[in-house]
Amino acid sequence: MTNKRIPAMPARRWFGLRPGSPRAERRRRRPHGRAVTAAAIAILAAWAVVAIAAPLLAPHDPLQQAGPYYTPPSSAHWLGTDQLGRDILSRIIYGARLSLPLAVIIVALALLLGGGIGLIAGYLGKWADESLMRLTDLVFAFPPIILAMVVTAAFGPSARNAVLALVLVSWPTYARVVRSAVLSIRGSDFLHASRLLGVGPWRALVRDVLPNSVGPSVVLASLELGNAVLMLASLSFLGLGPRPPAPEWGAMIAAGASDLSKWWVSIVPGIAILTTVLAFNLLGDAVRDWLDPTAARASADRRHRDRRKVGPPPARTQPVTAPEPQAAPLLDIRGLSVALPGPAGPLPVIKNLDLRVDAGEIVGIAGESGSGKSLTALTLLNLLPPGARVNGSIMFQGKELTELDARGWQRVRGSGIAMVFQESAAALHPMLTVGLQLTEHLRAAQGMSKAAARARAVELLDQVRIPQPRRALRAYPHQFSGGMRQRIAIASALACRPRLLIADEPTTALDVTVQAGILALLDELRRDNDLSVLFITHDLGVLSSLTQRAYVFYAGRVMESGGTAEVLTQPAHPYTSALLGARPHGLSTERTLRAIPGAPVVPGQEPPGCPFEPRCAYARDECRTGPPPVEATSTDRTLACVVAPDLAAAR
Amino acid sequence: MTGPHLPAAGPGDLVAAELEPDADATGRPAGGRPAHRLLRFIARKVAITAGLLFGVTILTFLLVQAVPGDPTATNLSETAQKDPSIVAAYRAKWGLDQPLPVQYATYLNNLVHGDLGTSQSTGNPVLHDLGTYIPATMEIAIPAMVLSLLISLGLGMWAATRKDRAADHTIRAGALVGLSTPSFWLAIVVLYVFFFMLDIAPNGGRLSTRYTPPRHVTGMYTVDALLQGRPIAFQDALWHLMLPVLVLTALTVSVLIRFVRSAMLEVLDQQYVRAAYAKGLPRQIVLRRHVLRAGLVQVVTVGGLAFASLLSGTVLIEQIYSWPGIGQYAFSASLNLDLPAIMGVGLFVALVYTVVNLLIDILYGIIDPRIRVS
Amino acid sequence: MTGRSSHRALRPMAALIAAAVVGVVGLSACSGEDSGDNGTNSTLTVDTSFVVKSLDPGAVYEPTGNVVVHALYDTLVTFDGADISKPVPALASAYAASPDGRTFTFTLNPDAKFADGSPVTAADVVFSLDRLKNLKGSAAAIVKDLSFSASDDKTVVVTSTVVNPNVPTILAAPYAGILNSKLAKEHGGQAGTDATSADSLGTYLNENALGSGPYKIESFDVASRIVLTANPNYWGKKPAFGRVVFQNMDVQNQKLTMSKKPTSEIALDLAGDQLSGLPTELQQTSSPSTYYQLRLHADPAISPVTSNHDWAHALQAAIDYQGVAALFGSSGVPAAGIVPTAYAGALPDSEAQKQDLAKATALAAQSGVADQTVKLLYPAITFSGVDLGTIAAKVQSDAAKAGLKIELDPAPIASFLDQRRGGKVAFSFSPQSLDYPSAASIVADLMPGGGAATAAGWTTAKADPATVAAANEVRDALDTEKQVAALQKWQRLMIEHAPYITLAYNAGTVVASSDLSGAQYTAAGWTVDIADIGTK
Repeated sequence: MTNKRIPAMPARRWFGLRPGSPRAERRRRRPHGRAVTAAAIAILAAWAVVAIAAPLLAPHDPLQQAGPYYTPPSSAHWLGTDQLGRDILSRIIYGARLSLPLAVIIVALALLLGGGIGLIAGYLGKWADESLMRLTDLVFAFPPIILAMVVTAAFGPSARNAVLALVLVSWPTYARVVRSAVLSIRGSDFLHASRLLGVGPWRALVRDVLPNSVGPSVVLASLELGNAVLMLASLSFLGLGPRPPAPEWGAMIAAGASDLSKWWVSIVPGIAILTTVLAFNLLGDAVRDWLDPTAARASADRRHRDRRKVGPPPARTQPVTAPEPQAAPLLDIRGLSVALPGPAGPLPVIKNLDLRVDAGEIVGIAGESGSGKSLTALTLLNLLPPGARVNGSIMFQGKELTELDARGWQRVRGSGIAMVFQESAAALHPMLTVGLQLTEHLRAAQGMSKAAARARAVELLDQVRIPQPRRALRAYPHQFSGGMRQRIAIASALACRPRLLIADEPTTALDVTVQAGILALLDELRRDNDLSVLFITHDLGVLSSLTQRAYVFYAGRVMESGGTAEVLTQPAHPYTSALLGARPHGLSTERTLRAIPGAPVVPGQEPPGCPFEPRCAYARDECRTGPPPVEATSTDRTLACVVAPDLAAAR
Repeated sequence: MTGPHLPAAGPGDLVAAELEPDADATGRPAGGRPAHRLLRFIARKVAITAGLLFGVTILTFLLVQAVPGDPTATNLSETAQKDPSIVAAYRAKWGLDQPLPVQYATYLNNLVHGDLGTSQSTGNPVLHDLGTYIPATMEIAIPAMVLSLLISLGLGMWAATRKDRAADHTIRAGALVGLSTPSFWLAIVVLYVFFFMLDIAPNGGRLSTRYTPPRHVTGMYTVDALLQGRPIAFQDALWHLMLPVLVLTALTVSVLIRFVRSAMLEVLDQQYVRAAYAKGLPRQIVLRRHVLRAGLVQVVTVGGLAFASLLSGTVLIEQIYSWPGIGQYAFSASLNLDLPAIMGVGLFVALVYTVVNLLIDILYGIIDPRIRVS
Repeated sequence: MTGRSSHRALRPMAALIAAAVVGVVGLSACSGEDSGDNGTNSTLTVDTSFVVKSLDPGAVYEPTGNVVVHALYDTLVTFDGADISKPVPALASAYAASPDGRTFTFTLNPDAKFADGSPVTAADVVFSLDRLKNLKGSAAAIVKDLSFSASDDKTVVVTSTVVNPNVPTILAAPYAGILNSKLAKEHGGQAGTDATSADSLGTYLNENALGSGPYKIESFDVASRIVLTANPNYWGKKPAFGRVVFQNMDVQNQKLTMSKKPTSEIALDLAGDQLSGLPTELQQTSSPSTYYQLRLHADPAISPVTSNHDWAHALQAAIDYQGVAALFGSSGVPAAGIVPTAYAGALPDSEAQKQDLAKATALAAQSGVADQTVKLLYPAITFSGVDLGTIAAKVQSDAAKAGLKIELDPAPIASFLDQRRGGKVAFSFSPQSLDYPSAASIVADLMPGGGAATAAGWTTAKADPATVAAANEVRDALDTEKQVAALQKWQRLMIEHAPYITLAYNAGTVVASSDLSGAQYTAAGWTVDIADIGTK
């Protein structure tokens, strides 16, 4: 446990902390980031040039008196003179020759020492790991200032000893990072494989483990460079750094610290440190963005998560009965386009969408991952990420939702349109009681009293068949199983009596038998509560058993829509056929969506024509000229395919 | 991922209603009855702390022995050092004539009996010295920490909700500059501006010379002055806190903001935040109740450790503001090779470190019910 | 007194680390209560960076402790104000020295009595001085050759195993303060040879003064303040201030406080540059009492460079003495000889050393070792407001002008002292002050056989016979005039022949508010006599 939490805190504890960077931030490189990085590199390069060309640039000898003691900045000494009459500008210029290389040396040595120890600890494991990690604990718990001071006290102040001291305080961070990198691949397959192939442990260490821990340690090292400059300056400030008369920046600050009337002695070296550290820090951030393997891992995780397991279809529920057609639909989407902000400008993700839900109806949306199903749902609640652009019309209960302000949306959400999310575990706040999560919107949106809201919550839990509802109100989400949590989520969504419930793959994370229960419940609630449901799924079995009408999505477009039974039994679009076609008997239990050859289209890289064209067995030249128009083929069916009529004819 | 994995699933488990195995449930194998787990948890913590403290004493002892100098050099006059009988008497008095293992064993024995020894450079029992210097550091560290948490939570959250917009960029740039600023330099600049140029801040120290320090109760002048009903002294002590707290806060905020922002970004990205909005909750409630609460788990960790480092790591600030805190004490002890004092500070810092870690664990439990131990 | 000489030397410097450099101090304490205006007329405020461990005369050695203890305990003899030329009567109304300079007889003043009213007896004196000697603190080294006896109730005989005309001067120091032996014994005081372990009086003395001095302890807080009140039973002239508050204050704050023109307040640690820009109505008294000295090892086995006479003289000629003194601001004085100008026997200012780069360059070339670099060891501290590294860098840069190569080697104070004590250091630099206010005290230390000379490898064989003779002349001079003449002669020879280069003198300064009188800096060892201070 202790291990877990300490790694975030490197040796910088004493001199100022520096966090690692947020995972969320790593996901996307910011466009202006490059300019900032370039500026950082420019600053560092400038300092490097100053360091190298110091003898040419410095107007005076940095070690020799060049004027009276303590003269303020003047034309003779642009930055004034110090306590010995030395030219401060020249000393700052020569100071770059100390700070920059020493920082690099400190980081390099700490990386070598800590990396080596981490490697050994992680690779050997067992007692070696345990004892080495206890040692890092010890160094972390030991006041770094004392460690550094005793080291310099022991051997006297000098550049070498300051470096030594700083390496001694900073190596554990590297040890931890490298160790965890090693641990993460220690159990991995390819290491086992190399063992089986008879590769000795040390060769395996060098060949397999070492390269894998380079990434994180280089990232850490680059982030630590600026810190090393700061730490060195701090030691020098205390008189424990490079020996006088060396023009060390921190020591120069100290020379002016006791008498503020000689401000120039202290102010300027500080600015030198500040710019250097800032540049190093910016550079470190940039290196992390490039190299951090955890960022890559995070996206891999996401990809993995998206590949959902698909279970057998649930037991059939009530036979579907078509409702009476109504005059005005509850929800009427026309020409809806959504673009999300992307690194290279807006990224269209939903294109020209028409969709309708009538009162009391269950409408399904089907399609592969990334086809825009969930984004459609989020658009209906205005929960798209900031910067998203929405065009088109969304009429709900006769109101134009796209014209709403924040307050208006707040009224629609929950009370007009509610949503059940795909992962029940993620949709409930883990740290708030079920009772609070069931009542807070009742109180905030409908102004209910606490008691009334609780009563309603009990009623809701009863409705979704949670046993002992009163007790459940006091419990936290983690105390329930996944199926129970989804019931709670549904209860929460229904709390404010919405007219439309969006269910975004509400059963995907659940066990098959639980799925069936949830689906049955949804259907029942729809009937009892005068509710319409927009049901999002990639599971055609669920689609057929639950919904009355269905929309088939691909790449943000509706490929085909119509009565569910018709669409599934007589698919007109090659894509729908492909979805269904992998199996001989249509609605078989074993069907998966991955059976379609090729990969789904990546947003922003759609082909100019029909998005399905590259994977379509029937594609023709005209498919490549432009997106196919959506055409109504019968009263309640649409189709976006130029080939389909011919195919139907051919059949 | 929020928070660490601690033994989960409390006694009020309601899973029984649906018996299916569930991939998402936090059903990890229960480790015995909860009371036992709690005891084991505490026992483990205590064992780790004791081991750590023991390690600190050995490390300090060895480090100080490695120093070529000798306490007689700094504690006797140059003339007296030339007199072998005086040197011998000094060494006998401080036990320096004993073999190292004996010296160490004596120290440990005294330590176990609550005696940290006597500082050779102040002539006081180390415990007494710590009692004087620690409250002084606390007096600047606690307000700085509280302010830092408030400011960084506010700004960090603001930046997270305005991601990639002007406010976000400004806050992040500010934090980065703060991180890149040498603390001691900032302290000098602030002193120069507020004391030297504007003359609205004191020049350092804990209290103006015309006031008598309040009697030692907590050792924190502001608190003691209030307890003793001395509003003017309180005001003056507060005034003296201003600059060191300002500087420490600025530096700590720079550190915390990044953590807060990234924690909040991660939380804002969570399904349950979207779900909270989807329920029709006003933004204020979502941010305050849902986002802040979840983000706190991560912020608490770094905040706790930042506090631990504030307590042990303010030596530079203390020096510039003439603040007689623990950092100054450690610094002079190191220079004087005052072994008992160095030991005392080392033990104190290690203890703070482990206690803070323990408090973080407890706070996790308060914030996140999933990891409540009992 | 044989070659025992002495030097208060680095001890106060080491102690000052805590204050001046590290600033563990910095408590700005307090005079009156919150109002700040009560009783300022009867309270004297003393601002100083505390360097104090104990108020026990047997253990006191630090600057702050000396000021306080001097106000708590009377000594046999003392110095009057800033005049340190001759000890004057205190507890002893008279004293006589034997012609051989080894035996001193002190006759106690029959009026002298302790704060509890009991008379001061010869037994008290013997007890106190024996205790000092046997406690084996820092000061014990100074009195180790002395033995004390009472020939009757009011007569004390002090005998020295060596010739030492300075015994009265030594016994004027704060550590020679006389305790009430009856009370001391009641509270654990021991004076026997086992006093190091048997005596347990020390901490009691931090709360209660057992002396006969003008003040008593009201409170003692080592970190923030020491408060003294007048001793109502004082047998001498009553002090003007009924209450004295010492407040622990760092130097910067002392400057600030004094700049605001307070009343009845003095500051003890302002030095160098900090003295410039103070309001003119403040009174400053000072006396250069510290000398900054380079020491070169005379043994070629340790260093062929520093033992080379030409090299040493080249360095001597290369140094810009005025420039070094200027580093100390207005209080610095370029060195003439060794003895700081505060003490009798100092060479006149007109003989101040001067830079002569032409001579230095020539000598450097002639030395044949100018191409070799030598390390200059010095303590990495700030002393009297000046970073010693700055002075060392100045020396280095001056030397470079004559082609001499010096590398700076700062060391933590403990390590510096340890190394230099070892006698293997080629080249070192430090500020030095005197153990007691007699210039003769430094002669023995610096001459062959003395500690400094031994550490510098300067043996009798290497030393110039005339210089040795001059040193002996100082030692044997039993009257002041002879001593002064001998000292001056000795110093002139030392400049030529000794392996030391004295750079400059720096002053201790007492800054006092304009309403005060008698607040004079004294080089006697207690900085300022608190009991002398009155209002105008």
